[in-house]
Amino acid sequence: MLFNSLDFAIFLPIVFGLYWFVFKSVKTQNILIVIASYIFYGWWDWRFLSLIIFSTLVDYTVGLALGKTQKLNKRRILLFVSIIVNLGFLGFFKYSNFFLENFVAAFSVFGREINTNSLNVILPVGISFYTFQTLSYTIDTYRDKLKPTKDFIAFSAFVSFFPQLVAGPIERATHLLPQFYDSRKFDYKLAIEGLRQILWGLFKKMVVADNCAILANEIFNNSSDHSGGTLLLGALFFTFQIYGDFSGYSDIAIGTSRLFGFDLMKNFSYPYFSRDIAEFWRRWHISLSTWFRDYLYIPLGGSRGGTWMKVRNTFIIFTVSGFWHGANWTFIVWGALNAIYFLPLLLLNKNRTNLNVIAENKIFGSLKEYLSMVTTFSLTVLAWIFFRSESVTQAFEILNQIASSSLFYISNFGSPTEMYKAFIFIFILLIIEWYARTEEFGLSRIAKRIPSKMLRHILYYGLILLILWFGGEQQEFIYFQF
Amino acid sequence: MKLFLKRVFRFIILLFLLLIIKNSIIERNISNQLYVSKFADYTAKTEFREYNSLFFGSSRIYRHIDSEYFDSLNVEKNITSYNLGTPATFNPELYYLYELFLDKYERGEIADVLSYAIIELQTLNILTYENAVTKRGSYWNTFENYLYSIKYISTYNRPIKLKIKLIISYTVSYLTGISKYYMKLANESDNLLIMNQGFLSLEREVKLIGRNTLSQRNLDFKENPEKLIIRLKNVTTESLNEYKNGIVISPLAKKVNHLIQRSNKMGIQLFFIIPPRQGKDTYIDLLPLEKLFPNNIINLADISSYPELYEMQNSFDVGHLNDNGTKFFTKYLSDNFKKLY
Repeated sequence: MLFNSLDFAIFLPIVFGLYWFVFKSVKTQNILIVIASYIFYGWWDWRFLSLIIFSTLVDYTVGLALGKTQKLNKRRILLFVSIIVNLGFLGFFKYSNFFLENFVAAFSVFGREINTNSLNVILPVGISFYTFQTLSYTIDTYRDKLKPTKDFIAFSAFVSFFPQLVAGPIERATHLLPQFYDSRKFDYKLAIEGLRQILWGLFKKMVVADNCAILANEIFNNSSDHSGGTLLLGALFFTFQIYGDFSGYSDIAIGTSRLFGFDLMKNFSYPYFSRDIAEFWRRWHISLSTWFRDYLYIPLGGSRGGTWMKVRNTFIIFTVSGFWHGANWTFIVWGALNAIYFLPLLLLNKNRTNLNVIAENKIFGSLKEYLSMVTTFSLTVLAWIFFRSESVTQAFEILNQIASSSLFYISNFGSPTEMYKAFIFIFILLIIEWYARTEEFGLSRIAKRIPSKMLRHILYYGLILLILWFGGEQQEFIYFQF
Repeated sequence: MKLFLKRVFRFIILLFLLLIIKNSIIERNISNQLYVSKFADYTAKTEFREYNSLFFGSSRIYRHIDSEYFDSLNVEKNITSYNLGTPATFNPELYYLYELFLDKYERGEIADVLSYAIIELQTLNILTYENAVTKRGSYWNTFENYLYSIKYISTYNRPIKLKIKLIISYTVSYLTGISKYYMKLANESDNLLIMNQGFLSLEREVKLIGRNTLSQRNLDFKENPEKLIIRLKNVTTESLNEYKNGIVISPLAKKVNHLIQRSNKMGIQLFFIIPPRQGKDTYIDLLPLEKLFPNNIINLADISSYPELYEMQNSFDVGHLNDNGTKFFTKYLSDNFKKLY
């Protein structure tokens, strides 16, 4: 079920009503969450529910077993079982064809032809998200950071919680699981804040991302026909498409959770206002970056060892993060490129320079801040070219064209109206987010700072009308494919 | 919780009112690209030629009425016609488009002086939920059309499950209709070939364009034509016997009457056609109307009177005729037309 669909618009009020008016105890509310989440997921393809249920059963059992033994060897085996099962599913459904194709290609280099057929594997929606979420439970239990739960329903609800099941934020068991134990009271302010965040998420997804998508798709799908200038515009549209799409989804997920009395972690914090790449990565897909930091980077030694260790670990974490996004070399190159951007900051010990918000306590930033912001943004746009391209070759062809004299020429694409529309929506997004950059999400500051209720409502109605009138054709969220 | 629900409810009601106001101020543009293109072609041609007769409907009109041939059969009446039929145009969209046409005509925005309009008689479209949320599936759904659809659904004889589904679809379509903004469409279409006087048979289009989905339909039909034709003939014969004296769908009857009256007031004689080769679900709604409007309904579905319209050698696919078949269709239409005007 898509958040930007009528199905969800009907589903959400029904679940909300049942949750607060019919199922009033924690236990029954958790049961309802599990049922609703399975319906939500099964709406896409019910067959893959079995994977979630199996993962839930394995990790619940592993968690209980970890709680009963302190023998290191046994604990390691249990953790290994959980990792093998979860990453095994992920590997099979997401990466089997990639490895198969590259295996064949590697052999052909040595003059050996191997005949294989690609497997007809469907990638289950959200597998990368819930796999990582449930892994966090077993790893934290293994590390004794978390007591294993005996409440199977609460654990099932934690794994399958529908607002963030298919595209995050990837929650930590230490943060989300305890919320399923406590009784929930309806909080008016939290619910209103949740609705505001849903509205802002829908605007980002349906107005910004879906309108940019039309142009980005047109340009990238016919990249060989376009000039450098147009290709750069395409990369720019994709930059805002992916941000609107993914951060919009996160906003809707967090807002929806609030309606049910849950608090999810922040996933995006105005990343395009970052002044260096390190800051960008502290603000982009926070739940994934911190997951890799806690469960991969730090166990590898983090930035503690010598220069070689730092370089190695940085490359590992960024390329693995890239590979997490998809089974294609483009994602790996995208990750490696970000590692290259990041390394100078790490080696010069400047990766934690910009910990505050740009232009803090001011309306506008300094020229230096803007220059840093534009530089970081430009590097990000170039990196997105690899992310969006079908192949590394296509990405290099696009970069080649951008670096040519045709950069100053705009070839025909789409209709000018579509382009102006997209620019206006991007402008609205940037203005509102700049104003709100110290807050939780785009509309929080407006809600707090604009005293006139009428003005606030005019803005909300304005956003709704933009969604209704200019929302592009219903498109799936990009991150569903990961 | 009460306060939350109260405020959310108030917010939604106000939003709904805002949308209603917007709808009453801003006219919706037509979101049927094929019709827009065809209408543009028609208006462009009227600059140097006059048409006193027009055809409206779905592909059953567009692909079957050869306007030039029709004119040649009605020289004594000085008939010059244009076929404004477009594929997949349905009830209520079709009648909405016709009324928009009359509005334009009334305002003097159409150069021709019309004498006759011939429009397809259609049953209510089985609107799917997927189509209801699109612009094409909602732009025509004004409050008036929504009421008409709901009345229609509640009146006619269908399984309750289908009726519920349709009520939901038409409600969704209405809500989509009032909440969307309809951009003006360009007068062009990639997939509609507009020939002189608006008519183009399926067979000719396949010859002109080559292999496409249309030719595939023809090939599919040719795989087992006899079985399909026999079934079609049986369905038609049974329907004609069963439904001629069936229950009248009053919302449809009222709609037909309204369109006839409105056209008459503007000096246009309006005729409805019941095309051949349709299913029982269609005939059950359409055939009982024949008795109510004997001077305005032309029933070309009658297999005993028009057997050629059901013959295999005149078929393109199950629902449509080939070049040869369209000649028969146009000829029979002309014969009936002559009797009525």
